[in-house]
Amino acid sequence: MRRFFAITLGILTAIGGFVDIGDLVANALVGSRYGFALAWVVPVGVIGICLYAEMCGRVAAASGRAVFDLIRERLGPRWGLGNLTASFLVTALTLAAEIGGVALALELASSVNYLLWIPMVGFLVWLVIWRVRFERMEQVFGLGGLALIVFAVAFWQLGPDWGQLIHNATHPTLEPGEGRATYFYYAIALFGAAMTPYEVFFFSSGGVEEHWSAEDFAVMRSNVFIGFPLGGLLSLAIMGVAALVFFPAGVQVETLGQMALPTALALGKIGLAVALLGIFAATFGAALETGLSAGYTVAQYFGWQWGKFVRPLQAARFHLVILLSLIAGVMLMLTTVDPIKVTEYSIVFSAIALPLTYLPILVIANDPDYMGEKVNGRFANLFGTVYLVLILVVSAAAIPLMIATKAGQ
Amino acid sequence: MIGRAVAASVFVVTLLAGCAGPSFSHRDYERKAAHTAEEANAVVQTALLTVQAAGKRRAPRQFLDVLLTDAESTLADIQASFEGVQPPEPDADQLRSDLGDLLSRAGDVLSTLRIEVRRGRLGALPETAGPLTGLHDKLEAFAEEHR
Repeated sequence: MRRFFAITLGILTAIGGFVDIGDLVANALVGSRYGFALAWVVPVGVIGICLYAEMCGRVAAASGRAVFDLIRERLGPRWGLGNLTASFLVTALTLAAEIGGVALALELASSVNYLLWIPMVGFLVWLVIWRVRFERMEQVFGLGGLALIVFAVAFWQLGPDWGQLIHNATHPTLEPGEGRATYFYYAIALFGAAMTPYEVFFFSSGGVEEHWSAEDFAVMRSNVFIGFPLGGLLSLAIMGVAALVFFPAGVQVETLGQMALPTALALGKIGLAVALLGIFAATFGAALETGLSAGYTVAQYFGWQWGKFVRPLQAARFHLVILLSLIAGVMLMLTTVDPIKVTEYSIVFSAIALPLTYLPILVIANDPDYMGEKVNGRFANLFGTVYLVLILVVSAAAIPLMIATKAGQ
Repeated sequence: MIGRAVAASVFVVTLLAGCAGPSFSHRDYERKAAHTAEEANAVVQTALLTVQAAGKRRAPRQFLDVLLTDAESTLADIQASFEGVQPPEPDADQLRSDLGDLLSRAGDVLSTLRIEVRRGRLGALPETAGPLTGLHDKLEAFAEEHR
């Protein structure tokens, strides 16, 4: 049982990170617009995040320190500051989007306008971060997020034509009127959603919170190689139901309600209730992760005491950053800006910031001073470098494609 | 200084990326009308799927309320956005009027659906939504003709 709970960090990271509001929206939107023609991006993203999350976990277990903690020390304050600025802004924007996502899930269950839920959601996220133990937090929301499996059940229930599905996924073709630029814009959005920077910062900081050591490599790897692929499967299921219900009807998913509708059509009220529970748990879990990650990055850069393994009084500045990030997120959402639009922009900005996150990880994972015998092997370096080139291409193409396609229109 | 200018330019261009431009010719206006009809049709289709879930008692009132309210307000935004585009010449007025009529009728049905849901009359939704099927076909034909 203890071993089972030990892998919940990976599940939380996967559910709250891989399947957060960005993925819920991006996968449903892409499924409704392109069917399975962009399904190939999900495994590409899963392999990339597994590769780098494993490096981060190894850094945390081998050195006892989180990755961001080492970036400034290893690469100097200027690089560290650039990394901090980009990562913090993307994480704060994502936090705002997650708060909006939780409020939208509550609106779907209650029909009370999401704006009324936003202050309460912000308060609850802060309260959970402040009061609830790290392990309990990850168990409750990680396992709650598993309710999203209902999308896989709904997909099965909707009776897909498996042969056609595999053909569409392996031979992607564009519908008449769809441009290649828009296709690649959404490919970048999906990839950015899969490799959001906060996932790796949260994962390595969470490893330190859980006091990983060299003896915990097996647990860390189970977290990575079970959690993220599971998140990837859930993403494909969400894409799948949208592809089956909305793609033939020519409807592009633009709201969280549309995203959940196929579960009602396939499984009725119980299916819908489970889906809403999963969406709530996944977005709330991601709000906890992004809130904590905002605190982790700033506190680790400035060398402040951080973490939930010490009393809040001993890590006052860490908790202050979290509180201010939450207040900023709540205020942004209360401007009535569309949470789905914030999400769409946050995942594209995330794609732009990717090199600043992943290059330092590759450098630190190769440094024997920190890693000892656990430095990257040839396999990790080969694939790590291939992905770094991919990340650079994605990052360079994101803004031109955003402009050329009017943000995917 | 240059860095700030680049950052400001990127910010402004990013914001402008989501804006619709004016129409300079009849053909351009016609394309915008076809695109508007496609967008409206997607809203109508979503409403029809929502009503399908309601008809089979597969979704609770609260959920249906949110979806139909979203559909109504999205359609109103689409209509307002199209009506804000200046028709370039008198020939375009008929196009504007034809599409405006379809959008208004669809909007009226969505409003009635929202009212029925809030009154808890879920059983009446399929009948109330009846005209949406015809409007869906007309919007599709309009988009096809002017694409």
